[in-house]
Amino acid sequence: MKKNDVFIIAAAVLLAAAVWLLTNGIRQKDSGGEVVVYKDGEVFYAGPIGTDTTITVEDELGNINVVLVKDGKAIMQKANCRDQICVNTRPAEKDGQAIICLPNKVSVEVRNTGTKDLDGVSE
Amino acid sequence: MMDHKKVKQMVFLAVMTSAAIIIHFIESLFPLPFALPGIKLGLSNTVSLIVLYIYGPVPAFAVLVIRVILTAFLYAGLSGVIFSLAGGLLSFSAAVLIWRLRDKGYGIVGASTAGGVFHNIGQILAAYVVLRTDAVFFYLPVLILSGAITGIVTGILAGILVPRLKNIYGPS
Repeated sequence: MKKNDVFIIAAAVLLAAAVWLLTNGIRQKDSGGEVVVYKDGEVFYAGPIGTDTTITVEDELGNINVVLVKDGKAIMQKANCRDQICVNTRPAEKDGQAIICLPNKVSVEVRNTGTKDLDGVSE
Repeated sequence: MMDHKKVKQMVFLAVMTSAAIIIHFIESLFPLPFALPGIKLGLSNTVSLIVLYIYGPVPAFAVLVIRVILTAFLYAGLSGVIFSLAGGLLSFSAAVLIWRLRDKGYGIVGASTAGGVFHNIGQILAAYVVLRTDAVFFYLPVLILSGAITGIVTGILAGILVPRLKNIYGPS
């Protein structure tokens, strides 16, 4: 191995990183899915999963939940509930995946992303 | 003595071509877990690389083309040819480019790495032409990296083999 070969290897790694960033950008734009946040059974927020955003759900009792939408995934970033189950739920990114905070009556659902969590549903 | 040299070169190129066909066949037995059907690591391009560093670009190109045509007749089929040809030609062009810079500090590992990367880029382009979907480009970063890694490994291997083979089969 000669010394300039290192540059070629470095160039290959950089190229891979650049293409990765590029294709990742396309993926986010193409994703037609949406995130829906429910509070007390009513729609509180609905928006595309491809757009990074933070949604804060607060009520008069002082219950607070912070939902973060990033990289095509939705997570419950913060919640002041007792059990913290929602905060520890895996990120929701596929059709039908949900994050539910029972004590605060908040739920986050993902729909129409084209990627299904379930193999099929009989109706 | 001219004839003796010619025969020696012919035998060497024939052995290299058959080695490339065998490697190509063995490679087709292990499909890559993450890749599209038809896409391979391109280990058989190492053979073209070895010929390139011993006899130069023209015989190496001949070995590549004969290998692609023969594997098509033997088992790959026409769709396989598009992938091997796209990968092989792009890989070969990249390797020749680095080979031309061999006096400027670029060695066989560099040529092999460039070849491995462009082999996979060529195959993705072929897959795009066949499948007509942007989705194939999502495989590209992984394939560039894996092409670089296999390129480094096969390049080191070729670097060990070239001086030895040159002693036995090389010109002069």
